[in-house]
Amino acid sequence: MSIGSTINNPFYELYPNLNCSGIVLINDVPVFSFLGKDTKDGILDGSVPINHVVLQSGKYNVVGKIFPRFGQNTLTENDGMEISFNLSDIDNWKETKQSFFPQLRTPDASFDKNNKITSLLKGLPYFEITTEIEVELPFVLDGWQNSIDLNKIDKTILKNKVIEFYSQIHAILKEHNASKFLELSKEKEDLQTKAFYFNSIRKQEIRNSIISLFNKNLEVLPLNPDELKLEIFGYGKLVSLIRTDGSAALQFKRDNIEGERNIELEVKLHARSLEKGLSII
Amino acid sequence: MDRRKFIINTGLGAISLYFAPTLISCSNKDAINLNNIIGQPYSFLSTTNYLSKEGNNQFGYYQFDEDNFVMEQYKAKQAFVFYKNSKIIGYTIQIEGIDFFSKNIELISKSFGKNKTNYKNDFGQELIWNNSGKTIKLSFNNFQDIPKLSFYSEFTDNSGLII
Repeated sequence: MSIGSTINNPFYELYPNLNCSGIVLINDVPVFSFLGKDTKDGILDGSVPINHVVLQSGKYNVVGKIFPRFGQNTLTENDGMEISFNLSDIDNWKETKQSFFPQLRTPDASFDKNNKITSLLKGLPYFEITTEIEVELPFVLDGWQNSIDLNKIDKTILKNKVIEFYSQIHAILKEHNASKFLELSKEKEDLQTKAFYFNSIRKQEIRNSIISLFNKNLEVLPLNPDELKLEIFGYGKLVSLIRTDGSAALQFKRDNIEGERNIELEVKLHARSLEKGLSII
Repeated sequence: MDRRKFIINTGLGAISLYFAPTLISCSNKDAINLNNIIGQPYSFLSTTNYLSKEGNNQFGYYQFDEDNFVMEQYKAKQAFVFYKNSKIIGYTIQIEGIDFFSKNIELISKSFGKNKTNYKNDFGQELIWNNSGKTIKLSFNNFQDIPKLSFYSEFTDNSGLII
């Protein structure tokens, strides 16, 4: 596929639609998830930008992992996942939006010999759909392409290093050191600015969201290392700490009585070299 | 760093010595003293009147409110004391307002020498000093509605801290 004349600044998106629990990954990096208690009922769909994950032109492996809903042990005939693939020009999103790859979906439900609805997924504890997409971008992002393989580091040592990093971010959030938080997020901000062609207005909107976060004086949830697990992804190039319920390790607590969800901070780390150590990307 | 030399060089020595007895008499006798805390075993922190703690046996921090820590030179709102492998490796304190930043650059430079700009961004700035195996960082927030705060950190060079 080549970038058409109407697409100057390509904007790639996935559009997953889940009727169960699940995760969508691109080249082993999670981009969308629907897990935990929220999956007890209902469906989840939405647009997921992916320019910041694919990093540069090339072929990428897309995987949809499907799990039973919360409280169930196996998938049912009603469970399933669809993923659509869209491309548009970032400045003319509505006018240029088009599918750039056929929809990926779980097998359709059908009728059994007793005329009851059934599905290949029914009774399974897990199902996976996968494909390979190709994207063409006018840039190469300075991401984790050349970062070290974290799988080669002893897991206990790596977990301690990651806990060290997260604990310090935790303290920085608690002391409201917004300038340091911004600085530590610089690699990530630079990457996203380039990936989504941010102009000064959009960049200021992002800044405003950080300002708003630091103004609210929200409590930061405690980090209990015994209740955190290490997640290595991106084929060994990225690492995060997540809570055992699948939510982010770093969270601002909100008023759950009012039904507000906690604000989760997505912090993924990489290391350009052992000497440079971990940083947010 | 030689603490005594630092106090004299910063010109705060006289003030500190003058007010010290008053401060001691008014302050919580169980408050931790940050001036000589780096290098001490961290185990005693668990017996102090801390606000919160984070981390595991290898690494973590204790948070203190203003009534439960003291520093000879500075008055701060909060302190975060970091430990690694059973030793205290550094701390950071939060001070209200941004005057602290500009007022202390020269004073710290007298003891620690030349500083470097560690970063300067839309929200603020950080300066860094390295001398005699210690790192000092001084930063502030000053942007739109972000709370105006200054931060002073001191830790050992080999601690690997990013605070």
